[in-house]
Amino acid sequence: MSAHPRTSPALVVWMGATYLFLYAPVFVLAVFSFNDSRLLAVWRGFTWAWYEAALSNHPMLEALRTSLLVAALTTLIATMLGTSAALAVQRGHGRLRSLWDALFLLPILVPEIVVGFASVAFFGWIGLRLGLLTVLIAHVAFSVSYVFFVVRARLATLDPRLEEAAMDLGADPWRVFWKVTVPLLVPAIAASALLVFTLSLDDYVITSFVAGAGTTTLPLRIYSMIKTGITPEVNAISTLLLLATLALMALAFRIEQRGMTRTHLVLAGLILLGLVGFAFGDIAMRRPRATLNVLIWSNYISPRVVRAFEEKTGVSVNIETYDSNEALLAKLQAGVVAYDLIVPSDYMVRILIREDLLQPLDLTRLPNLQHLDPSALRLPFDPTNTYSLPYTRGVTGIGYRTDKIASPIGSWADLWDTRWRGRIVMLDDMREVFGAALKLLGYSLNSTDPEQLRQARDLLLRQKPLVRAYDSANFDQLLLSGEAWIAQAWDGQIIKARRENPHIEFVVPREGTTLVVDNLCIPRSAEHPDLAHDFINFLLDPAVAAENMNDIMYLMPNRSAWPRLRPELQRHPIFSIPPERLRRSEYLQDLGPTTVLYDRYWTEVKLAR
Amino acid sequence: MATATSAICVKSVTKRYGAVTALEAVSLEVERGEFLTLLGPSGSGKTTLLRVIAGLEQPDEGRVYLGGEDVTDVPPYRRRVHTVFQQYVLFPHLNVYRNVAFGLEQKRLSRREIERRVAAALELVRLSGYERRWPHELSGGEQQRVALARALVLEPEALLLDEPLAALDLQLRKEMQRELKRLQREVGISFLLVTHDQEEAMALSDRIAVIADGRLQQIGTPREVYERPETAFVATFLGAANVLEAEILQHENGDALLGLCGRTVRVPLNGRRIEGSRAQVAIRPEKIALRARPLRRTDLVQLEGVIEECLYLGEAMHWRVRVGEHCVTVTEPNRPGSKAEAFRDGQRVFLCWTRESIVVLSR
Repeated sequence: MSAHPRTSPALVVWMGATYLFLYAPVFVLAVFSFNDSRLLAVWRGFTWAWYEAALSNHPMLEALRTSLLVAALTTLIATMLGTSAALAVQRGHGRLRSLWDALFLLPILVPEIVVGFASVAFFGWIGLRLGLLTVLIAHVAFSVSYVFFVVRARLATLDPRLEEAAMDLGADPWRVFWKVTVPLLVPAIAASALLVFTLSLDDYVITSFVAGAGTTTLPLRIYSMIKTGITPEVNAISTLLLLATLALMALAFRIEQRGMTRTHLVLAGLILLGLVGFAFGDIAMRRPRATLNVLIWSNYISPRVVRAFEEKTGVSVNIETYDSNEALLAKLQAGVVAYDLIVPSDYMVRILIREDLLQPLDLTRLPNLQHLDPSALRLPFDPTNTYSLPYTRGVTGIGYRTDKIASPIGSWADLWDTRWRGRIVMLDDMREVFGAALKLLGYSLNSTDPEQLRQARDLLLRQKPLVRAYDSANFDQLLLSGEAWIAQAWDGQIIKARRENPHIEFVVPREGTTLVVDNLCIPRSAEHPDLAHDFINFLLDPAVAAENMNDIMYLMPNRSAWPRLRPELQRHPIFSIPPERLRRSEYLQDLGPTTVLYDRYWTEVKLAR
Repeated sequence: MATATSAICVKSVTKRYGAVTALEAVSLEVERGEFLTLLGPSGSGKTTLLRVIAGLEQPDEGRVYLGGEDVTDVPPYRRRVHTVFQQYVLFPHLNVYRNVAFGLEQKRLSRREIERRVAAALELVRLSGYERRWPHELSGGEQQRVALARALVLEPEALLLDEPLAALDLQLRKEMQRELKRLQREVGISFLLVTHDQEEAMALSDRIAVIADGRLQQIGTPREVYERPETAFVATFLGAANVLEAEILQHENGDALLGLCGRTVRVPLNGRRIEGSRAQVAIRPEKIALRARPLRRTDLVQLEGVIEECLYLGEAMHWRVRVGEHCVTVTEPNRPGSKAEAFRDGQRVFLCWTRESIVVLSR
């Protein structure tokens, strides 16, 4: 035995730290999937509940199914294409080789967001409707390069004489390929297939551009949950995915070590068959009937309500989710989506009208209109309700812990109170944060006056040392865990958090605040506008609206439904906003070019120490 | 036409790569059961010729026959010759058994037949019991044996060996040389070996074909090629030789009268044809004796010279002697009582050799 150079202890520590850096988040994610609490950060005890919840969460399973289907098909197609391309280039002419290599490198180097946008533009240009096919095409397009380079690297190290030797021993080119070339490439092909499967499974950016009706993947679904709060269900489903990936990795590793045996082949085949079966199973069972495609924020419509409509009309309703008004706009502008009903927020309605992306509603076909509260109608973004009807309304305010803060809370100034230093949380939302500062200064939260904006910025810079975090997704959890005592907050999450801890209170500041209305609109490109009208009218039915509200815990301006609300919603802060505070409140408006100034000041605030 | 008796027959094969001519009008015949060596420096075209015979390269001109049959347009996988490559080129994803069985599997033989023949082949190369080993677990010599078994198991018309021993260390190389010779006698098929090692060529071959610059220089038994080299290249590549310029004074009846270093020497031509007024002759250094004074014998050629350099090489002594405009190399084995031991630099000496030692080279 030769003497090994001794590994220095410092190196071991360094290596350990690197692995910890790599795997600690994953480990924490897995551990907290068993946490008996909604909180992501505080351990309360062991439970399987999140797994049960995740496995019975229909939209989430649907998204997982879509993701697996896309990933499996992408892997299959990209692996074949990439391997063939690598073989062709390897055997091709030397001078052109570097050009081909460069052309395959480019898709990896081009920013994903550019690829995503280019893909939508391209699909729009050739007139391809966004859907499973476009997601698949986009995924194959970005993953072929990875296969190409992994296989190409392996090919470059292969001794070309191995193929000559095989031929010399009597194998024709076909058998040389299958008996020698392919077996020697198997480790590379398996490794790249695994890589592609993983890349496809967790791609967000490109998918968010090219996904259409029926193709919400798991990442899209998880990301869209941010508005309504992420629960450990996500941890649970991620842990399951992690286990599946680990199993595949172990298999790939064994193949690389021991070569491909028949057992491996059968095992890999079974796994693939299982995945594809799971992915296709639902499609095969789906009845061919009219489908109403609805694009909506996640957890924003009750599954029971959807089922009731399906049973009543025999129509199938497909629910897709998005995570921001801007994503919605991008999809509609690409002109390749076939959604029948969308739920944009106030300012986005104005933009969609301006861009001529909505079609007028036929109000005569919506008799349930009469149940709507007049205060939610004729709002500035659509004064005649030609294109939109209110679906839900919300308000930004202050959430706080009554057991930690004894003094009365009622002004934005309370978020500047040095007594709560390190216990204050602001939304991670430029317009909301500047809105609070502008309102505190007595200005409009849609101000475009540079001087007023400068003052708001200075105010926010003064607040910065007191702020624990800017967080839109978890402010409710921070309040629940007691890490935060007072937070700029949206009403919906606070109402839900209050069910877990009655010490949480919500107040609308006396200076006025942001009002939000999400609206039911029918895109100009809708394929079933008649069905969409029927669905809107159905949603406005008082009994349906009450059931819907009781499930999603957001308030709708449906007066006739209010008496049927559960007690928490009966006590919704919106009902008790004093009229003068309501008068001082505003809807967000599109700011046009001033947005750039907002962006700059927001960056300054975020970067300040 | 190719004779049906020859295992391999190459007829004026030419192969070019762009402007480079790798082989030029090479013709060669390997008899059944013969061990023939292609000897030449690197880049001489010997490996190209082997690849043309195997079918891995297509000749630009000329034909290739195997067992009397024209195979020039037959792809490599249908030719009944098999190659043992330099560095063996075993299939890394197959174990020893599957490597050896590879060719048999292409023939779709029964499993029992394959098992029987693989076992026999492994026994032939003395690797029985290695069936489950992987190529990377084997030593260089063992890999070499697997490569041999893999080719021999197919009972080829001829076995082509491309510098099979070059990657082995000296000790193992000597051992494998004996092993190769033994194998060739046992299986009785033709071996065509490519090497740049003249000693290996001498030790193994029935015949040697010397090749340089894509041309066949000479073909013959080791003794013929060594004793009667045809060209200056063969004379100097195969062992050492003094190549001297001579004047042809007269030639008749298979003898030539040459003017060599101011002397007139009668030299046997041994059927070699010479033309013109000048010729080159070769004399092997070990066939020259050094003496302090001339011997009283008329059957010897004796020239006077001055010692320029004197080297002690252990097994032999080595001198460089200036004779007129020529510089002649002389070696003498290190035997006890050698008179030559006392010679020093600058000393006047006499070089003596027999007339038969002079080989007249063809231009």
